[in-house]
Formats: sequence, C-alpha cells, structure tokens
Amino acid sequence: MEMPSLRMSARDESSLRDDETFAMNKAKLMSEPNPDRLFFELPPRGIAPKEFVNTHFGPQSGAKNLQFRKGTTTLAFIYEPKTEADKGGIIIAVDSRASAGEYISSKSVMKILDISDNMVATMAGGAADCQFWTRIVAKYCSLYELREKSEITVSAASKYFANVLYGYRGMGLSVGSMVAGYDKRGPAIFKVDSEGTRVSLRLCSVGSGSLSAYGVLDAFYQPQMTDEEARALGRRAIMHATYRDAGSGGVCNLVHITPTEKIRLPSVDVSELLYEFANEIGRDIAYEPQED
Amino acid sequence: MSIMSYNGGTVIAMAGKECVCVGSDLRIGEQMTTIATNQKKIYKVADKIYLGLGGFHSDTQTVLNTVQFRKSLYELRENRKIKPKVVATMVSNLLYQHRFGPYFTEPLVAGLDPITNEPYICGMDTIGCIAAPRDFVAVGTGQEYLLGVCEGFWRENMGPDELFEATSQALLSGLERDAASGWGAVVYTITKDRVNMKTIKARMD
Repeated sequence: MEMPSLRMSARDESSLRDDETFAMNKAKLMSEPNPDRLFFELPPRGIAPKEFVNTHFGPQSGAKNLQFRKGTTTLAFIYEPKTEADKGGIIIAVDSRASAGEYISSKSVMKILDISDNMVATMAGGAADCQFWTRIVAKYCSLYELREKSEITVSAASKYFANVLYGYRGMGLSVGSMVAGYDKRGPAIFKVDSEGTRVSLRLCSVGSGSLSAYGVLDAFYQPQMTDEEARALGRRAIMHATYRDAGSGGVCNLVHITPTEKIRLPSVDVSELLYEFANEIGRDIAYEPQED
Repeated sequence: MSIMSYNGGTVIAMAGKECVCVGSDLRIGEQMTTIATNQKKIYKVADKIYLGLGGFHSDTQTVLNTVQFRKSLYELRENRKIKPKVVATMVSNLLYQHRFGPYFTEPLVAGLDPITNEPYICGMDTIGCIAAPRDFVAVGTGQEYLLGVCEGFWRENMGPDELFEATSQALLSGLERDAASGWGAVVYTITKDRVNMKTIKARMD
C-alpha cells in the first residue's frame, strides 16, 4: 500500500549559501509534481498541523467566514425490491449546503462523489479533505481495475480509504464518508472517517443533521421497498434534517445504485419538499401573527 | 459559537417617506438546532413605535420588559405620548447601565413621531451606542448580509408599498446566506394612519 510520506520544512535555510538556496528553490518549483508520492508542506518549527490550523482558522481565531466549521446531512441505505418491477439496491441521499460557521458559503454543493462506475462516496466534514481523498481513492480503484482486470469491491476500496486516513490520524483531517456501491458480493455501504473507523452498515447517516435523518429512517425504513418508496424515504429524511439543522439545506441530491447501473436523479429543492409535505399531512406551517 | 449567535435571528428597519418598515425572521434555535419557527423579534412599544431585538433571546426578553415598564411610567409621569427618539434613548440608557456586564442584545427602534409623523429608525450595539442613519439599519446574525443587499434595494422617498417590497426583498435575500436566521419572516409597515403586518413565506432550511 502507498504510505504517505511527510517532509518537514523546518530545515534551517538561512545557513545555506545563496546559490544553494537558489538551486533548492529551483528544484522545488520547476519540477512537475510527482504523482506517485504525496508531499504536504507542514507548518514551520515542528508545530503540530492540527494546532496550527486551529490557531489560524479555529473558532477563537477571528477569521470569520474562513472557519473550517461545516454542516451536512448525508444518508445511505440498502433495500430489497418489493415487486418484480423494482430494482432494489442502494439509495444515497445528501443535502447541498456548504457553511463556514453561520455563513452559507454555497447552496449547491455536490456531496456525492464518484469513485467508479458502480461506486460513490459521500462528503461530510471538510469539503477539501473529502474531495481530495476520494479522488485518491478513485485513482487507486482505476489502477486496481487495470492491473487486476476485475472490478474492485466496495470493501477493498473503503479499506484503502480508511488506511490512508489512518495514516494521517491526529493531523486534523476531517472526513466522514460513506463508500457505497454494488459489486460481485452485492450491495454494500461502508462508513469511513478520519479517525480511522470503518464499519459495514445497511442503513447509515453522517453529519450534523444525521440525528434528524436517523429519526425518519428508523421510523419508516423497511428491508423491502419499492424503488419509489425508497427514493421518497431518502428525500424525506434529508428534508426533515434540513428543517431542524441549520447546517444543512439547499437541494437534495440522490443517487440510486441498482445491481446493473448507477442512476443520478435530478436535484429537488428541500424547501419545496417541506411545503409539499406540510400540504400532504394537512399541517398549516404558515405563521399566525398575534396581536401586540 | 458566541452567545450573540446562540439563538440566531435578524431584524431590519428601513425608512421611507412618512413611513417606516421593520422586519424580522421567525427562527429561534439553540446553536445549530432549530427549536421553533414562530418567534418574531419585533415588539410593539407604542402605537407607531416598534422595538426590534437581536441577540441572546433571554436578555432580549429582559430588555423588552424593562423598556415597556419604563415607557409606561414615562407616559404616566409626563402625560404625553412617547417619541421614537425617546424610546431609543431610554433603551440606550438601560443598556449603558450594564456597561460592565452587558445584556447580549442589539436593539433597533423604528417608528413615526406620534405628532409630526416624522420617520425615525436607529440601531444600537450591546452597550447602547445609537446609530440613527436616514436609510436603513439591521441587527442580528444576518446583519452584514442584510446591510449589503439593503444598499441595493433602498431608494430615496419610498412610499409604504414600495418600502414594504424593498424591506421584504432585502430581508429574504439576506436570510439566504445566514444559516442562523430564516424559516419565515414578518414585516411591519408603519404609516401615519395604520400599521400593516404581513408574514412572508421563506425557505424552510
């Protein structure tokens, strides 16, 4: 397995001669990045990365709107088809809000990232951390497929992901991802996080809105569902989560992975979903003003 | 998270020609969790004077009660209707009394003079520094976003209808980018003859 190699930049450059410094900078800046080895510049003087980031971007730093604080709701579940007409498989549903503290930095983030033709990873925690490392996992999967002439299993892909994250444990990475897909062993969901955890689950939710999502999923999930029911459940859980959790919102993106294909369904506005839901159960959510 | 954004919420006021508009969102939360979506942050102080309170909800209620009490006492003692500017000074004095242990609330006063109907709006910081611009003020977690959009919506000498539209649009636009505010809005349009309250449908996320 490819292990992360870390280079300390704390080397005392002032003791070098000018032409040596020049040669070193030239070598550093003029060479192409080597795709086989990952280099991460570390904070100077051996300061721990986690503390460094916290000092400059943490809640106490005063760097408002630059803080690495995030809200999300993501969920995934496996279900069996109820009738002949249904396909069954995995539903992956997510919201689309990116926030930095109370500031909503984007309303249209795609939090379902592709890993391979029949596999996706969801994004919760640090957006950059998730995007970068799923890209690394996707690369690994492509190379695996070319080398082994067979598709990688969800189990193997997620284990590679977890191992890579474990290699950076304690350095302040923030990843809460679900790797979901269909392989030769059937449907699978693995929850992977930056602490190194990797667990196989049939029903799973990650993020600040996960508690609300679990509430809906636990109440309405059944092992056997029609495709329509399953998709509606995914959307509804996301919708309820976005209502209660200020960190989640925007649109609901949904991917349905069947035994044969990966279907990306169109985005649905969660606010529209809530008004539809209120109408459906006959609840009046309009504010009734009271006399002053 | 700071105590000023513990509950969330935003209030805005705009001045027009012989009218003022004041609006707020309806969310009350505990940090990231939304507790209720029917909490307006605008309160009636006198016939044509409204007080908007952003910040920590508990202190908001304390300040409101004290202001209402002092306003009643003022009107009884002076035997005349209170002016918006007097309400503002009254709130300011109350806040400055707590200079070394402030109430965590930023108030906003909007109204018309009970006799001349001259529009008045003002905002304050937590220790009572009055800022009374002629155009618009905003307080609360979405303050920065709102002030930004207000610059684009505000025009000189707007009538009540136009002013209501500008205030509502500014409020809704501001709420789009503030996670701690939203879930519906309410807008009061104060004219010399009547006060019109409208609730506005907003995004529920």
